[in-house]
Amino acid sequence: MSIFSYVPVYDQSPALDDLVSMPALEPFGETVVNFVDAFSKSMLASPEARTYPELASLAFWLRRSSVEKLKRHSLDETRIRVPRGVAFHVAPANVDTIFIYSWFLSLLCGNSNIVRVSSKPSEQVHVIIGIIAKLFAQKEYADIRNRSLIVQYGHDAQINELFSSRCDVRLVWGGDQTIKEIRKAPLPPTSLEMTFANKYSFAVIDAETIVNADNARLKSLTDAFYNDAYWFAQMACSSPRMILWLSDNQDKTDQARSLFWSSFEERIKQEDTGLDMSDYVNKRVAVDSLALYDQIQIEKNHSNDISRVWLTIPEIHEELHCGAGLFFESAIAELEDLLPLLSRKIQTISYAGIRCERWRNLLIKNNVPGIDRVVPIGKSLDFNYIWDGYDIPGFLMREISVM
Amino acid sequence: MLDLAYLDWPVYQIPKREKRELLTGRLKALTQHHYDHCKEYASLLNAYGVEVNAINSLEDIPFFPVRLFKTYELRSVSETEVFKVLTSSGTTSQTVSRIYLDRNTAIAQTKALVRIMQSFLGKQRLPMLIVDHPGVIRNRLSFSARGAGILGLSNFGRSHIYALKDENMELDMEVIEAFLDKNRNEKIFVFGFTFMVWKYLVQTLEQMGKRIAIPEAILIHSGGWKKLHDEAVDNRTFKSRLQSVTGIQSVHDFYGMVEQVGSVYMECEHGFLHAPSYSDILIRDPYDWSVCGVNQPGLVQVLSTIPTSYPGHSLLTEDIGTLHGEDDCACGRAGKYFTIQGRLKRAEIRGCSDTHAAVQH
Repeated sequence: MSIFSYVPVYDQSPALDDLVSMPALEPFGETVVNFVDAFSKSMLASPEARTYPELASLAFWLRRSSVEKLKRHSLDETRIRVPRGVAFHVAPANVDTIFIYSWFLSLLCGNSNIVRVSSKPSEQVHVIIGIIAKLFAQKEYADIRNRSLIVQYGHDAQINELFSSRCDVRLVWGGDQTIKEIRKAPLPPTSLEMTFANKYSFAVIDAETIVNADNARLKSLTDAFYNDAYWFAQMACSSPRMILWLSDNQDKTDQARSLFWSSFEERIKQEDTGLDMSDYVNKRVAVDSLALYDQIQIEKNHSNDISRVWLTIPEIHEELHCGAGLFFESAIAELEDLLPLLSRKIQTISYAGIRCERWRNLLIKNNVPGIDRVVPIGKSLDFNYIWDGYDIPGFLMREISVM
Repeated sequence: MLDLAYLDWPVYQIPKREKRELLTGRLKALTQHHYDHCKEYASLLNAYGVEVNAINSLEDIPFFPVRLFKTYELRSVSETEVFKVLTSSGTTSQTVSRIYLDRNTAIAQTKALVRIMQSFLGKQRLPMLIVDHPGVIRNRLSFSARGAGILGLSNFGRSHIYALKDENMELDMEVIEAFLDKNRNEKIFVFGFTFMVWKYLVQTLEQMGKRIAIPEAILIHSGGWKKLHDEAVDNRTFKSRLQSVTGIQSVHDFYGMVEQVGSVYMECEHGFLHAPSYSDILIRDPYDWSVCGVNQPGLVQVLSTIPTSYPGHSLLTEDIGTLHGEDDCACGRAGKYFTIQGRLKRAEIRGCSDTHAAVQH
């Protein structure tokens, strides 16, 4: 028998063979719902967790009322939905909280879980793991502990193969390269997979709305945009990397931009963005690289915490973009001008000053290959159980038909 | 732009006001030259809205990150005029810089280097001991940075020998002793890359419990301190341990890069790097690119009068340095003097695609 070098995060983790032989739990049954609720409460009560806004929003997302809502979405009394069995989650390193969203969604659906957590040191992950350790120590959660194998391991194809061969559903976060690696490990014929590829996001703002906004409205919008863009150093798939100004009037656009960015600058001056010298140099490299071959205009800013580039033609330039507060800007005269941009690589549009109906109409009328979410500015990073086009609970359970 | 008159400027004697004026004039003209002859560079300047005519100080000379030479072919001469392509060593990163030289730029590089080196070595060529192995220059077609550096510096010596046998880096005591015997009463020029000198000369001699007595020799070394700093070896330690196994008193590091060959920054007797007349530095605050004052560390911007065949006369390096003064170093040389603290740490890997990369470490 070969020895596999994965390290369970918890001492009392089940052996893989034991985990896969456990019967599944009841979807949204008392055990799992109580566990998730206890986790949410511990997080909200933890002084450490409270220092990280993304942990606070994780706790909030997992509170009882939102789990109830998820249950109503996922289950339907007229149909029989049962857990798939064992889920294998490959978590990303850039967004520290994803492994919990992925694991807990699956747990609520009744599955047993193998979760590969990134080995990158992260204070947030450390806090989460500590809280779960305390819950696992309680007897009432033994059923969950025995169905949870949280592991860290290096780039090891053998372990990928081992876990893949024993799972019924595989969720691969972490982008294209990870997906490519993990896909080398075959799944059993009856298993299925959700992959979360590299994707990019941008914002669309109606210029007129900004010009007409009072100071309070403007401030709340720029605050919301700050959170969208600067959490996770603008490197989450949902972080806006570009702003498209909706207007057919150049003066309006200029006016809106000037109002928006001066309000934004006020905000960012008070922030410790967490960006460092390497980020500033990387951005400079990105911007200057673009300038060598494209007709662009590089804007002056008070500091390198913000870098802004005006593009004649809107384009996401994902191969150059390094996050860290780099914003491309351009103008569109009408929403239809967006359509050519909406490739499969586009995940989220965040917007301001455009009615929800207009988005619905646009996306119903036009058959576009990409775009997974359209949300108001400030909600870009809010995780949802419908993600990257998947209804995740739908995939985590199977349906039995009885006629 | 073919005017090489600046090479007659005295190397370390121009007072700052005059130097600023001379340099600003030359660098502004170079900015215009590259704007006219390199369309990528022109596109960059246009993106920043730079008006070349409006440049009236060194601080106004536009700059871009040196890293761009790793990705893009940037030159201000036609392909047919390219005489030589320099590449940086690829040891610390996967990609290498490619620097396109025409004859004029290559000649200017050599002349500037001669003027600078002669002011330390004298005009006579000295017997030269190279702390490396002969294999490193064998393939002259591939100008690795180490090979190119050795070839470049070899011009300042004669009767060259290599201190190391081969790729195994074994110290060739027999050859060294014969060489020292032969040049008993002569001043010897020792050259090597900092890490090579440390690891394969100093440490090897220490381990062997041997000494070679060359107190009159001069050591010139370069290549950076990263590996030595990793071993917690600073310049002072380097010098004192070198001295105890060789007796060498005169030790000069120099700071330079493949993107600006020729206008190198030599370390003086007091441990400071000095800008020669042909080049200058500005320390930039990474937070907003403003120019830092004395004793305020920042990123080093290097300015050089030499590059005409490629737009490399003003570059933002990834080195962190501190300016200590201008024209008033105790060594008596005019010009700015500074120290290098290290290199920008490699940016943390972030992003959607990083799980795979991150777990490999």
